[in-house]
Parts: sequence; structure tokens; C-alpha cells
Amino acid sequence: MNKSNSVSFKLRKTKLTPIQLISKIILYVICIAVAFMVLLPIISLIISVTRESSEIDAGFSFQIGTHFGDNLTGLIDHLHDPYEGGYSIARAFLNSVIISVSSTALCIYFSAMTAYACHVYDFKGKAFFEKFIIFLIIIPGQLGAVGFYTMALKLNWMDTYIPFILPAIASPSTVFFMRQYLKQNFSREYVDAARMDGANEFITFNRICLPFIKPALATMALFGVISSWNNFMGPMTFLSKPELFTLPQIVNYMTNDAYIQTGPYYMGILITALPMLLIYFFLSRVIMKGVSAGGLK
Amino acid sequence: MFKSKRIRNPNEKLNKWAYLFIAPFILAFLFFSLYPMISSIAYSFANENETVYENFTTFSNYKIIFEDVNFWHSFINTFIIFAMNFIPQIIAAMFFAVLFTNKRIRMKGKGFFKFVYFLPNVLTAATVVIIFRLMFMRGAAIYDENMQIIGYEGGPFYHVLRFLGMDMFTNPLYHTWTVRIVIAFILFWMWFGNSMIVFITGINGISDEVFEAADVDGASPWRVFFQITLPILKPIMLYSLITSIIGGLQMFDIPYLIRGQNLDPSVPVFAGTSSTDTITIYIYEKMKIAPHDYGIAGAASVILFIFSLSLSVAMYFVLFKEKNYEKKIWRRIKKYEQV
Repeated sequence: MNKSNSVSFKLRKTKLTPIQLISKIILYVICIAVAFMVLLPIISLIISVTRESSEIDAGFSFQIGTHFGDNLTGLIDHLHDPYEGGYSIARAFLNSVIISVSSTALCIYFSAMTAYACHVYDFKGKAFFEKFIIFLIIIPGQLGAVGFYTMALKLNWMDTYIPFILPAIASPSTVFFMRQYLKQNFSREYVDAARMDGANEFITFNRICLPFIKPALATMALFGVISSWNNFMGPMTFLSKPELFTLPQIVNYMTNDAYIQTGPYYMGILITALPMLLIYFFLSRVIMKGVSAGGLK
Repeated sequence: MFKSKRIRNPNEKLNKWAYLFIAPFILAFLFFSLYPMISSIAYSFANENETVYENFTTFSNYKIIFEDVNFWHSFINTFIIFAMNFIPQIIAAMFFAVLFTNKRIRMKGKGFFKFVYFLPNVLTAATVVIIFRLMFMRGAAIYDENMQIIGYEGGPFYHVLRFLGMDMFTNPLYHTWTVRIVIAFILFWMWFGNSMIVFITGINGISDEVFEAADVDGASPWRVFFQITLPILKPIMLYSLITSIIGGLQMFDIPYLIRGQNLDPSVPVFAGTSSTDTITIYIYEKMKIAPHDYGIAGAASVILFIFSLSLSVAMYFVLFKEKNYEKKIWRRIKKYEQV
């Protein structure tokens, strides 16, 4: 790879002709304009939460205000209103954290386990099982929605977090990703060595394999947390008690709430979006790598 | 051969552990995926509101659906919104992918642009919709000295729509076509960075020698793009097309939330019912809202399923066919060299 890079392309460092210069400037202008278009809504959100409600209502502006604290307390007070039946932004935040962390933990642990089984053992039906997993990836999940909803009704799973957490155990795309990673990075010899030392199979997986595939686990954990945090349809389907609401649901609730002021409302939106923005800010490279490896659909 | 067998033998017993390791996956799959799927299909053939499958009424639910105007509306809507989002998305993604990988142009700040363009993809759809409402919002009216309305204050994107003559002199979120444009634009905004990263990976995967050979031949950048880059990326584009269609068919959050605001009784609501409903919203409402037509919802999801699955299978075969595309391009380049 390196060899071909060094041989290829004698980059011309000669001066640009006027046409080349102009076209280069145009390209930069396009890039910056698109970047501005992408960032504008996010910047406007951040500016909005610092402004007073009446200022926001009056129209869009880049003027930064001084009402950040007021909006935050306004949001907390509004959602603490006993009339609202127990809505609270802190509670919703906690609910979102509980759901995304537990579902992600189950997802990556059991996916790694399944991928490990496919990688290390030669069991009957292995070839079929592996093909089956790939087949499952392309099946749209929407087909099961009605059946899952009625099943949850029968089993009294409405207003619990079971419908979001337990199904995460079977995540074909995560298994596929882990399997690819194991193929490239994890040699069976490690397992044989552990066996020589008399380690139990289960302990071998936990102590030898899991630490080894940490990068893959981290990538998939990021995707799991992001998709679970942003999940809107699931909570809308299964949760009706306000104290169980997740953040996207709170946002939806506030949208239909005539009594909330605009400032606190935008603060609620910022609180919902901020954790993902922070994760992206620090870990964008891991996320992009995962995307290019086909981690996220 | 014998040797390797003898070495593996002691571990043969251990292979049974594999079943234990894949058991959680299989159980969860059977219980949370397969059973619900089968039960959805069973519902689609059952009587209306029937939870027992004894009354097997075959295709009555499908008949109802095919005669339901709302279903067709949501079906067509899904495709209109998808097309309006996907075509610009793939063009923009391809443009930036080529720009950022091109070794002659050598853009500076590539990392920054990639970072920014991908950013919306991690945001919660629920929040995105509300931010965009501010962007597309029409503000207070502006009057001239005769107290005639000459325009409106509003968010920056509202002014863009007005400039293009698409605001219809009212809030863009309340009009059939403008609201579709808004939804498509939000989807574009969220997903073009993702497609761009996929394409960049694809272009980086093409061996440099191909470009080099073209460069030696003195091929123009346009020719390189249309005759080398694009054909080699064909499988990746197809992949991205099909995954986008499958994802697009399941479009829910953004249209649902955009519609959620049409609660103001003074505003005509037609934009909120027929122009933003997607198939998934149709299924969701049939399932969730009384009288809970599970049969209808099941039938609609079966139709959606057959549709997506046939597209996926088509992709599978096309990808298999196109596997050796790079070799073909090489042959083509050699032909040019001979001429």
C-alpha cells in the first residue's frame, strides 16, 4: 500500500494558473457555505437558549442573550409542575441514560459472544448460522412491529423498559461487525494458550477475547448509545407514563404544550442533543471509522 | 492433514460450548424478532380486531388497504420525500467525496469539513425537527406605510424558500409541497455526511495505480470521474441506494414530528394529513390508536416488508455480479492505451 502511494502521482508544485486558482477559490467557498448551512441550525439553537423567550419568539437573530440560567430554571420549574404529572427533565435524562446504557451493554456483550463462538469453534450448522446473520441484517425490522406490540401488551410490558433493553441481545449487524474484527485481529492461538493454562471456555472469552477486541466494542457501543438515545418511535409506542418518558419524548411533549415558554423549550432541546454532540466532538474519528466499516446503516 | 486433525481433536469436545455462546442470541432472536414477525403476518390474515387467528379471512385486510386512500397517500408520500432527499444527497455526497479524495486539488481543512458534514447524523431527530422549525419559521408580518403586508420576518431558511418563490406567502410548514421540501431537506441535512464518508471509503479503496494510469494517459478529471471513479463505485452506490430505500421506507420521526405542530385550528390542516404521512406513520397509527386495527397494520407491514426485501435481494444479486469491476476498468484502460 505504502509502496504504491510513494510511486503514484508526481504532484505538480508549479504555480496555479488563474483559472485553477479561481476554481479552487470557488470550491472553498462551496465547502464553507455548506459547512455554514450544516452548522447554522446548531449554532442558532445554542444562541437561542441564551435569549429570552420573547426575543426568540420575535424571530431569528444571532444576538447572544444573557438568559441561559433563567431558561434552565424555567425548564426545571415547568417540568416540575405537579399538574404535569411528574415530568421532569432530570428524570427524563436519567431514563434515557438507563435505557441507552443497559441496552448497549447487552448488545455489545452478547454480540461479541456470538461472534466469538463463530470465530473460535467449529460447530454444526456454523456456516448456515453465519449466512443467516447476514440475511437478518437486510430484513427490515418494521415487519415485527405489530407482533411485538401485541406481545408486549399480553406480557404487561407496557410502561416498562423491557421492550428496549432485552431485544438488544440479538443484534445481527453488531455480530457481523464483531465477526469481521475478530477475523482480522484475533488469532485462535490465544484461545489455545489459555486452554493450555486450564482456563474455562467462558473465562477465556471474558478475560482474553473481550480485552482484545476493545476497539470494536467501543465503536459498537458508540453506535448503540447514539441510536438508542435518539430512538423516538420505541418510547412513543411503549411508554405512556410521564415519569418513564425519555428525552425525545419530553421534547415531543413540550412541542404540544401550550404553556411552556420558548426559552425553556429550547433549553430542553439543547439538553437532549448535547450528550450526542459531546460524544461526537470527542470521538468523531471512531464514529467515522465505524461508518466506513459499515457499522451504521 | 492427519496431523492437523490430531491436534484439533482434544478441542472437539469444547466445540459444544459454541451452542451455549450463541444461545442468548438465538433465544432473543426467536422471542423478540421471529415470533413478532410471524404474529404480524398472522394478524394480516386475521379478522379485524381479532386476537385469535381462528377466523382466517385470507386477504380481506389487504383488500381494505388497497382501497384505502390514506394508505396510497402515505405510500406515495414516502417515495416522493425519499426521492427529493436522496437524489440531492447522493450528488452532494459524491461531489464532496471526490473533492476530498482528489490528490490534485488537495483541499486543506478536509478533516474539519468532514467533521462538520457528518455532525447532524448523531443528533436526535426530535430535536432536529424543532431546530428546523425555527429555521423555517415565518415570523411577524412586515407592513408598508399603507398597512399592506409586504413580507414576513422569519428564519434564514424561510427567506431562502421565499427567495425561491416557494413560501406561498404563508408558513412553509403548512403547505403540501413546501412541507415535503422541508422534510426532504432535513433528511438531506442529516444524511449526506454519512453517504459522503461511505463514498470516501469507496474511493480510497480504489488502487492508486488505476488513477495513475489514467493520469499518464492524460485523461481529463471529468473523464476520470465518469469512466473510472463512478463505475468502480457502482456497487457502493447501489448499496447506499438500497439501504437508504429500506431506511427511507421506515421514515417516521421527522414527518411525524413536523406534523405534530399542526394543532392550530386557524391553520388548514390538509398539509398535516396527506402530505407528510409515511407508511410507518400509517402502520403506527393503525396499531396504536383505537380501535387498534392490528390486521390492517399487519397487512401494511407485510407489504412494506415484501417491498424492502425484494429490493435487498435485488441488491444482493447485483453486487455479486459487479464484484470484478476493477478488473474490467483495467481492461478498458489497456484498450485505450492500445488505441
